[in-house]
Amino acid sequence: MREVIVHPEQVQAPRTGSGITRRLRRNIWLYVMVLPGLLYFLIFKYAPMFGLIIAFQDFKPFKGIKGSEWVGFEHFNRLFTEPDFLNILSNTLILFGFNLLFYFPIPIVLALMLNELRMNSFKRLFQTLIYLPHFMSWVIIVSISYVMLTMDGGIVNAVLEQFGLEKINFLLSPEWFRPTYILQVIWREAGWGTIIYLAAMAAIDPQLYEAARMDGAGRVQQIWHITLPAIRSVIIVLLILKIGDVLELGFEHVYLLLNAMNRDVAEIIDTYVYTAGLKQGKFSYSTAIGLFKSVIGLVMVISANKLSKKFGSEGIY
Amino acid sequence: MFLKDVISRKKRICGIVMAAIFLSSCSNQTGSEVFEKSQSRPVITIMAPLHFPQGPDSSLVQQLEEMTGTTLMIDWVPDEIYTDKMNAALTMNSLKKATFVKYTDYIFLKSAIRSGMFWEVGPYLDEYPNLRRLNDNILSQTAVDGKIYGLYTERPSSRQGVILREDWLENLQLEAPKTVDQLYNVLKQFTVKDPDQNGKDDTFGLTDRNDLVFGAFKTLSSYFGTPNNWIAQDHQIIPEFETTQYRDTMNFMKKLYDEKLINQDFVVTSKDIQRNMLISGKAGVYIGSMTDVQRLSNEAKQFNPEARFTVVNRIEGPEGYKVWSIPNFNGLFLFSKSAIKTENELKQVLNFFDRTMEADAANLMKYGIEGRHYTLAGKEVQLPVKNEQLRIDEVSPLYSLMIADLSNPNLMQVAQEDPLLALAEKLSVDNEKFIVKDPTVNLESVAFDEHSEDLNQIISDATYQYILGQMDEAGFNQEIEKWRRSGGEQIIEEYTKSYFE
Repeated sequence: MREVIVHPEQVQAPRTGSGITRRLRRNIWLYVMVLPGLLYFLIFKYAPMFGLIIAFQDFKPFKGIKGSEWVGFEHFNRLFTEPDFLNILSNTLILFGFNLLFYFPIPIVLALMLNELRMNSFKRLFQTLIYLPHFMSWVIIVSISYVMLTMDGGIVNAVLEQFGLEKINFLLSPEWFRPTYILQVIWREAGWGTIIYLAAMAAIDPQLYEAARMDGAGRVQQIWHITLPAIRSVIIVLLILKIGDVLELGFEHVYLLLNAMNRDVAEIIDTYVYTAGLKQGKFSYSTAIGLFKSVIGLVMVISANKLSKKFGSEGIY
Repeated sequence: MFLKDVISRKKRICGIVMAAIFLSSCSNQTGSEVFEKSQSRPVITIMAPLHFPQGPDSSLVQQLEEMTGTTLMIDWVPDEIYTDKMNAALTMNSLKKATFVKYTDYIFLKSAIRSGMFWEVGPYLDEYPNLRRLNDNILSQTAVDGKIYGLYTERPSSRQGVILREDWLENLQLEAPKTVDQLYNVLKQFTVKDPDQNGKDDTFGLTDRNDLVFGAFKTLSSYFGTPNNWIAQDHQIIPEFETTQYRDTMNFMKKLYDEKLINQDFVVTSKDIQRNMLISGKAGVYIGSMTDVQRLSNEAKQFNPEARFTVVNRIEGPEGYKVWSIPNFNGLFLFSKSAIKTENELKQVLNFFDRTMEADAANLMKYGIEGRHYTLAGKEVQLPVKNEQLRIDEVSPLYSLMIADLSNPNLMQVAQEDPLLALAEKLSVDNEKFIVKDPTVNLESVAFDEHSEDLNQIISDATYQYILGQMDEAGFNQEIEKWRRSGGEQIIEEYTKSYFE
């Protein structure tokens, strides 16, 4: 009798187990191939996240995480009551807005233009040329700009003077910080940003263009009715990713441009973390700010994703 | 035949294998010998800044090991990233036995020192013939809560002065400036007249950089009588920027800026560009460390062989001669408790530093090897110009390891052949007669240790904005209020308490 009465779960359990092992065994090499990537994320992305708890401690390096005192939300309190906090946050958001408004569309336009080029050799050459700045470090780009924009013998001011215009102190005036920043971003990243769009355009079925030409569509109409709709999903994915990076404006870049005269508009969260936190060994405070930044980024990604789904496009997940 | 062949091949293989075993056993033996030798000597691990493209020559380090009877493991970290590396080592608790700490970073380490991360070395110093002679005054400048934790690297109090183009002065028939007004006049003439006589309006007076301390500003402020960072007055410690003399200096700089006697971008000018403007003959005056004159002059002569320089240290202001000074230590070696477990090990490390002050080791570290890097004339060292590059490549980095070298009687004197450098050194000594000390060097303020970085930034930003005319006096006062609110008040209280107790 005993052998007859068997609970359904008991039967189920070994079966699923063997199912997993069977699937594992069948695709063993695929799993092996996934392993390094998996380990990378576990070791370098997930494991360090435990360090975030120091945001709630008064962390002292020599006492370690175990020995440091717990302080709850004290560091967040300090951040939100900091007199400059709103200014820094709004600087960060404005700079992000500039990025989205002026930088984001440019690679799309560039990619469309490149796509229309007939001569393949010329296209390749041009592509390579516009990729190049991406491989220069910000230090070099900012130094080159410095040499061009300085008041004492910079070429831009020399030209202005030649035309009888007044010299402009680009480096030291707060009004010029944002334009300088965004122009440098465009110069360095626009070319590199075209890669994904070009790849998406290459995947468009040429028959669509042929059909459009038969129907008498011009170049512009082809771009508008075929190319753009075809890369729409790519644009949206990149836009969502970009929004997730809302507070990643490039510490190195902004820090290099920052000086006593433009600090009111140029201090962003990243640079603040460095000067107020890391430079003075306040690891907990820096971590708290970093955590705050990540939370905002997460909220932005989720809402952008929701929004894009609402408008009928696919999100990133 | 066939069998024979096989046998002979076997034999040959055997021979090769035998040889291999023999050789490997041989190398094994020497390996263990070296190992044993290094085992018997104490290993000293050091982290020190490297101010040159490459570390010192290994043969010099070897000689130093022989002399001191140690095995040295020195981690040479490029100076530009030294602070970051040191902080990283501190955070991860991976400090070396002896770690060099720059005096500018020292205040950030005080909380670590108070928590007992480092050995207190004060009580041991008397046991060593050289360490016992360390300067008490400088040691007390490095003390934390009255206890001594480090061995200092020494430097003179003040090298600040004015470097200017002698040939330009002569072209305009000007005297070297002796007062602040004359200094202004020289700057003005260098700008509006044609000091290089090329018929073009392409020169200006002062070349400055983005540094209110080691640039021109602080030295100028001394000339106006500004205290050095703080002043003890009416039972209170007062910050320099609340004094009228500081305002006078800002107004002077503002005048220089408005009349274009100074490079218009000095707020963002790097030291290299600042030096280049003097070297290339665009500017005629450089205010800063006077000993820089030798290299500036050498480099300027490559542009224009006619260029000649002179150095001035006495500029009289409304309150007579004044010049600010820095603590007499450049930095110090601290001894980590996580790397040095026992008192015995600590004594080995201290013994090493004591031994490096003896004549043979000290002279080796400072000048190199006789005949290769220097020659002897009587008892004085001669440093031939043609060996300069060799000295920089092989010897100079070792200077980072030298403690208390200026007052070390075991070191040989240098026969000075460069008259400009000799003059600069002489004037640095002359500066001692009227230096202004920072009264807070030995004082304790926890708030200062914690907030000095962002507080300094408030004031330096405001100072720049005032000089460039983007902030008026009322605005500057508001910034001072902000400084007080953000922790300045607390610093004043703590310093005042500490000073008048």
